[in-house]
Amino acid sequence: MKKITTITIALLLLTVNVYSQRLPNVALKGHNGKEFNTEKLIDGKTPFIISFWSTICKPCIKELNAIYDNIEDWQELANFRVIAVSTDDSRSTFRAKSMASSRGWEDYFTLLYDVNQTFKRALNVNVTPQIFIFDKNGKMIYSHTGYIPGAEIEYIKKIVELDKKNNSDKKKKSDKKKKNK
Amino acid sequence: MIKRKKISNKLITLIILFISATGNTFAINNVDNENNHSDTTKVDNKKYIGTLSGSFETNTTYYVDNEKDGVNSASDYKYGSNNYFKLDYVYKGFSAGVQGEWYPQPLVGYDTEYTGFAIPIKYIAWQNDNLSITVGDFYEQFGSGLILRTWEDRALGFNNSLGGARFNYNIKDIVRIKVLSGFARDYMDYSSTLVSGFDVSVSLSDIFKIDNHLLSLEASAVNRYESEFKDHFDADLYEEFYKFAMPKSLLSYSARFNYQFNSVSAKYEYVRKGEDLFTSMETGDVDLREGQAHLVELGYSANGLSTSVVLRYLDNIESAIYKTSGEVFMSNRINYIPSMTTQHTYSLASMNPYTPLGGGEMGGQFDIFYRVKKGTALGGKRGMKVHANYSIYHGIESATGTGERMFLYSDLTFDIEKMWSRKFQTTLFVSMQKNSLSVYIPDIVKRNIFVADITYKFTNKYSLRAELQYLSADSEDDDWVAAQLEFNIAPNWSVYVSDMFNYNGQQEHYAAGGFSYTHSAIRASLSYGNYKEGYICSGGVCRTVPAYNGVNLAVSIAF
Repeated sequence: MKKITTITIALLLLTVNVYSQRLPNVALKGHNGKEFNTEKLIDGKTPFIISFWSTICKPCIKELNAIYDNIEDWQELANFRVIAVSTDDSRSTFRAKSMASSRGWEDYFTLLYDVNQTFKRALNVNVTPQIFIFDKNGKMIYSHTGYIPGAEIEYIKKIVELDKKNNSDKKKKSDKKKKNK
Repeated sequence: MIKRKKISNKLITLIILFISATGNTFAINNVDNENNHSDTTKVDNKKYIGTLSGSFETNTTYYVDNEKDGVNSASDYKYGSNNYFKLDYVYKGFSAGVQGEWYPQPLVGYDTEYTGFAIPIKYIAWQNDNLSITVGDFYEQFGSGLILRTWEDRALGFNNSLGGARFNYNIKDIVRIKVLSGFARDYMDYSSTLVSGFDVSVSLSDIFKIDNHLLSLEASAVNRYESEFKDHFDADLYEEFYKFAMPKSLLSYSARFNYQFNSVSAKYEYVRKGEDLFTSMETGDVDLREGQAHLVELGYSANGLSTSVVLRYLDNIESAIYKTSGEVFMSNRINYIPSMTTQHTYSLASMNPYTPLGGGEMGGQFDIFYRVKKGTALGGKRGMKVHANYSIYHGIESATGTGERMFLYSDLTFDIEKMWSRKFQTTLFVSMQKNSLSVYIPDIVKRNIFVADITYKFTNKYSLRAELQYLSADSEDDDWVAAQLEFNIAPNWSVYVSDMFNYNGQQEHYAAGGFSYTHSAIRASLSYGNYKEGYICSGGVCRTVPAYNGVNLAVSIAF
């Protein structure tokens, strides 16, 4: 019982920090079969969406399709990347690869394969679909569980907000530099 | 056992204290970060003293009595509740975490050995670019998992994490080595079986600098050691006693080959298992026998077309964890033997899933995906996606009840997904399944399942999804219809009603309804229904879910 109390208190104290998470570094497999460390996703320039999906998660596939159908328009609004992480295990990893290739996702998404759900666990994903938006420095800005058609509009809104903030930060910085000169 | 428990208790206390201490400081620190949000990473790095994250999940059902006989086999229980919480702390290369599980009364169908409260997962880990060390409980997989896989599947009530230590070492991108040793989990505790393993992967494409290609050779060895096996192991199986010396050590090894170049891929895996318990289905005799497995995966894709072939041969390859009494831990084994077939999600198509015959089977599957381009006659304005899968499996001579090779299962599945307009989308699905009745009787039941899945988006906020299913079987009384209607309000709400009806059989309606709410990383769903007995399987582990009537609350929170 003591244990439960300690843990509950610890939990309550810390739930305040929603979205304080940073991108964990985990070794996954890339679409080319080579090892890919997730810290490589942080490029210091553009924010990114991470979408967890699997071949047996129909709403996940719908969500990625919705992003795919809109991505050309969205990329005119802001600079960002989309990372699709398959949580299929060895029962269906090859099927996930085939499906992603056939749908042309390679052209717009970075495809990663989390075969033993290490990344999924590291990001505390209990239920898929699960979306995260990370800023250019790898700080979690937004997360959403489940997908309902139309929800993708929220994601691009968040990305555009982030882009605006980023641009105004840049402007402030360059203004400062000018002043100093 | 007692010693291990003491050590693990100390580890838990240490991790919790550490997390609580650093967590509090972190909370204050985080406010600082928020204020300085417009600044660059530099500020973040200076003040960064770690990240704390976690999650909580509950799956609780209140069982309601149903007077109809056989419908509510769960009536002995008033309720069932499975609860999990997880906490992880990361500071640069250092990390630590715990997972607590609480089963005041496990959900009906879950192993009743899941009971009470425990912290079965606790770990401390450190990693840099080339080396990582984990002490505590961990999950690991060698190759496809046929030789070793430890993983968690909460829906199945499965967790076979190992408690011990693991080292990973990489020499550039060329050589990757994993060494591990740990005690297998026994529900809320540890078993006395020690699992040790070694895995090495050598990337030839990196040695010879052929960048566009992936060519690697891999090998593993895994040992299962049970010191408490007596000289005369009494196997109480099928109500008969067999006495023989069960080897304390069981050594398995595996060799693998991986190749990928652009859209072509090829994989081969071979596993050899040392002498392990084997029960003949034909005679019922229990014996010691070696086991082996072959797995081939080939893939090709280009211009919207993707194909893949999987071939697999299994012979006495299951590697269970035994109690010293000879009983098998139902929820524990050290390798992963998934059924290599389409994993169905529509309820009527998934009613009779295939379970791999661990004793010995051979077969394979073929998948083809094709995207019909936009602007073509078939593709229309928004394109069309087509998928087909065919899988077929036979039991090998030594594993069937007849002593002959026997047909077990085949499934031919098609699905066509088409978006007619921004608002209207359909999926048509057909699955033609053949199941053998058992490994003793070569009779076959044929079932054809047809599904229409329609989504209509009224606006960006409101959408409706309808699912209509029909199952026709060649056995009497086994035809079904099912329907589901789901109304969604983006991005938070979803409400559904569904019914399944065996119209020429027992004529029972399995109706259910419920709603779910999601906000950021919080998801809550409440449902009520009359559920049919079901069978869910993953990796050669299956769970029978008894029929029940009840109210279910599922909540998942991540932070």
